[in-house]
Amino acid sequence: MTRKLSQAMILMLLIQVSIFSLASAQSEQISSSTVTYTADARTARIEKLKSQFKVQLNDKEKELISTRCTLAQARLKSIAYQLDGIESSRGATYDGIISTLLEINNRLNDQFVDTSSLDLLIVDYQSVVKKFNLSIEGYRLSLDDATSIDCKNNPEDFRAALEGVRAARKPIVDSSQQINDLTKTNLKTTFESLAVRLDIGAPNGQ
Amino acid sequence: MDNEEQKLLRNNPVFIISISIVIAGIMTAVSVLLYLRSDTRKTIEQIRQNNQTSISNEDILPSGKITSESLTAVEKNISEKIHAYDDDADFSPDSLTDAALGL
Repeated sequence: MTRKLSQAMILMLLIQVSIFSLASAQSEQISSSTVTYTADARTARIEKLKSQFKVQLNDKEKELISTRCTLAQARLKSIAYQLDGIESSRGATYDGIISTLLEINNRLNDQFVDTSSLDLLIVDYQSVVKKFNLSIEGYRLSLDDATSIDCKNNPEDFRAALEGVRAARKPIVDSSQQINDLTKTNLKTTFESLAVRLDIGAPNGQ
Repeated sequence: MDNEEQKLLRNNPVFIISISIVIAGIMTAVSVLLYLRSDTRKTIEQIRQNNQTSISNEDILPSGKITSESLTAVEKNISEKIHAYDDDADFSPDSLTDAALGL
């Protein structure tokens, strides 16, 4: 009885180990091809950044980066994790604003109010939010590059990647500012003109 | 004597099951500890925190006909949400300086 129980437990353990090994082998196979591809693409990006920012370090600078870059990579990883949350939060808000504007557009059409200015506003929001999302992707990619480099052995690559991260941050701030400006000016004026039309109550805003 | 005791223990199903439970407990505790210390958890918490601060957009617009009052309320609501975001805090250039990165 006890021997059978022990045998059954050993058998279950063996099955579990086999399944785990199989899954690991498959994921390794998939990830190895992905890693090769991303490594090639990353190398190309880093080379481009090196020439763009004219990265050339002397021996002292190389040594300094080699000894301290692990900590820097950990801090950059932390920034990347924070970025996930920021993207999620802002993405939900921006998408929500666009869907609200679309809903207002539909309802105003049902009320026979001219919505051409609102149509333009929605397109503007969609365009600038798309720009924001793309810049976030660029920033994330640059952070991935900087955190996945073997910085101890390739300090110049790491310096170039870091410059890439700094450069990739600016388009996010610019597009975010554009969303702010759009809200401060265009949204306000569009809604004010629509409100006037609604108060007049004439069809087609005439 | 010792051999007999060991044999007794080995043949005792309660002993074997207890050992299995202890091992499973240790594995669970290690997994929970690793999860609590992992970056995945930090990310999830960050997302959860941000989702709590970003109010749902479904409640911006009241149902029924659009009026000038409802438009004013929506405009105010959207403006407040947009201006609540702080680019300097979310994408701080200071966090990318050599000094901040310890270089």
